[in-house]
Amino acid sequence: MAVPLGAAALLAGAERYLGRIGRDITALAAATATAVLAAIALNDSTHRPIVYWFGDWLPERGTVIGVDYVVDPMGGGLALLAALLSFGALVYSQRFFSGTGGRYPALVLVFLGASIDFAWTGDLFNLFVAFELVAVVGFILTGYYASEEAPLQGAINFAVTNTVGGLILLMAVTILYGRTGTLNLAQMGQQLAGHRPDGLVAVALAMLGAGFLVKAAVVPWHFWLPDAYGTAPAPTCVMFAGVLSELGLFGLARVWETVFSGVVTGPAEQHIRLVFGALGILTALVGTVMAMVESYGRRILGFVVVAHMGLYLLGFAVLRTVSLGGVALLAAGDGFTKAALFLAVGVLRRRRNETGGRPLRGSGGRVGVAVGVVAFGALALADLPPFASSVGKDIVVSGAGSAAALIEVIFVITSVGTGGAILASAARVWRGDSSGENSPAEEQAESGGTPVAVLLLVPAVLLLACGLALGLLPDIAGRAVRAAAMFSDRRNYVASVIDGRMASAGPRLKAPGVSITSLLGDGAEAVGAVAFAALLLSAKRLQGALGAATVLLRKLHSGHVADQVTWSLAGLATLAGLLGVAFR
Amino acid sequence: MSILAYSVVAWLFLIGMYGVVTSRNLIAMVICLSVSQSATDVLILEIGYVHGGSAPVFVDLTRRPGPTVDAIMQALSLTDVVLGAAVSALLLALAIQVEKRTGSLDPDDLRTTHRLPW
Repeated sequence: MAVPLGAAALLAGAERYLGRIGRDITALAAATATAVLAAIALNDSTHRPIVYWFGDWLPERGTVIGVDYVVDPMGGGLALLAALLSFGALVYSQRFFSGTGGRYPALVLVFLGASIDFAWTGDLFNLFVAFELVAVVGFILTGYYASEEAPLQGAINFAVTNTVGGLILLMAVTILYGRTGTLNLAQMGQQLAGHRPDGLVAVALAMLGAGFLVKAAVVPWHFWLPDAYGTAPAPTCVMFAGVLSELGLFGLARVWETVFSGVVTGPAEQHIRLVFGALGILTALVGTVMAMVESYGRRILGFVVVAHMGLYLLGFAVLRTVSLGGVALLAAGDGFTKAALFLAVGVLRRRRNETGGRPLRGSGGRVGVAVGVVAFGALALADLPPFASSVGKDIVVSGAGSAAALIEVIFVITSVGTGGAILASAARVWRGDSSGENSPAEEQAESGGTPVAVLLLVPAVLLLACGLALGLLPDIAGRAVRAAAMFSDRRNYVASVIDGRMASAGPRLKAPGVSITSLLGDGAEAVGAVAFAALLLSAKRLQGALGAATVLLRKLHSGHVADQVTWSLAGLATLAGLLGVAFR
Repeated sequence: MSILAYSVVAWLFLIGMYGVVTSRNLIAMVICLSVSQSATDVLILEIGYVHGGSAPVFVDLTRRPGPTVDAIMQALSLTDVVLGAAVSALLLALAIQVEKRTGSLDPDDLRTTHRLPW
């Protein structure tokens, strides 16, 4: 974490003294070094979590006094993902922002450092600070074209809703401190475990949930996301789509497993599972429908992100270790794919801006590559084997037990719907039917060099390849499941933080085997996505019907910040009410 | 007494949120957001308060022994104030840009995300 932050300070402070080349080299070297360090940490934590106490303030007779980092495979993997994505974003932004100086790379690196802090910290307040740091850098990155209206609106919506989320989160942190007298996650869980959950715990869980779910963009806290993702610069979207939303869910999962899993048991746990599962299904469906009726490429991708967050939440809500591993794998694979999609769409947009919205067909091999990335990415999101998403989805379903059929159905609807929506939109642009509107300021900011530079395409292709390679790694399913087992093993987490050793060997879980039927099913989903895209394109009446059916839903997404805050608060109240009932 | 203190928190938070939802001016919205933020500060200080406690300056304890209020909570509220200042500054900067661009500070004049190029 110190590496990216230090390099960011260097970049921002010494901007004038480093040349352009020096800046690029510093930024890329910092991202690479972080990726290597994260990979080492990930490797070292395979068997037991690494616990590090800042300033050597070790726990004294079972009482935590210091602040610690706990690196387990899940957090390590997230850090590695963030580092790789920021590398891609930095390479892309070399050409994207000519003449922005060292500030943009510096912001990307701060974002990276804060994400890693979030993934590794073992302290609830530190978690909140990292959450806010990620958010603040996110606002700045979104509003980078500060002279344009749409990104400004995206940044304001993002900033206001996420600040409200942060305030709610901070209140929850304070309430939990008041109850347990500690900010350390492990000790907090130890203090709460074994007591009957009461109203205060319900309120704290609801507020934590609402705070994190604002960031994870789960319905009804999701309204800011399409506004922000639809307007932010493409390299920013890479970081957002792959890391930012996942961080929200990661935070919720981390706090749930370490703090609440000991106190909320039995029927209450079942009810909470229902609440989160219902939220996940709602989010997946709303995201899918909105992706189908939306016509602008990047907003479609924004809603695709929303739909996927719904799927992850649904997988998490199963609250079974195996499914959690599947969710992690799914999130990582989709993260790479979505990042590649955002970059490729960014390339296409540049091209369209330059040619004034002419059809892209026949405009050269490099544009073809970008379109190919979009098409392949859409298929990967529709669970085309052997991408990582396909493996992850199969694990989630196999761990779901009695709910497997329902979850499979939701997954199929979402993957086919979102994949089809992306493909249809890409095909429309390829043929040149939709009218694009140029934005002069952005065009100016992005202008530079040859029409489609190879450097812009390389990261998109590489990130897509990462998603593919992740699915092909030997025993990736087993690794993911073992990582999840360690992540959700509260006893051993507490023991390794407070006593400095594992209490017992963790449960040995076997990854579900890959069956031919599930592979065929995933392949069928990809085919279904193509068929659905063709349907969307050919049947104009279907589009009209979809549009008419969703007038109300689309009106809700008008980007009005006051509405968004109202929905957030209503969501918080509902969640608190539901959890209150669940705890009875 | 303590019920009154906690109601102040709820009141500050809700009135601030009401302001955010109803403001027709971005600067007013930012101010309302900081009103809500101060609710969290008050809550933090209330949780850390010890009745009859003195300030947590531990070198003075030999002269005036007795309980002190919780120092951790004071540190938290300081951090929170810093974060709040950063967010407000950023939002105000965005508001200036909005004013430059559209000549208005009404958040409703900004609904342009639907007219984006692909």
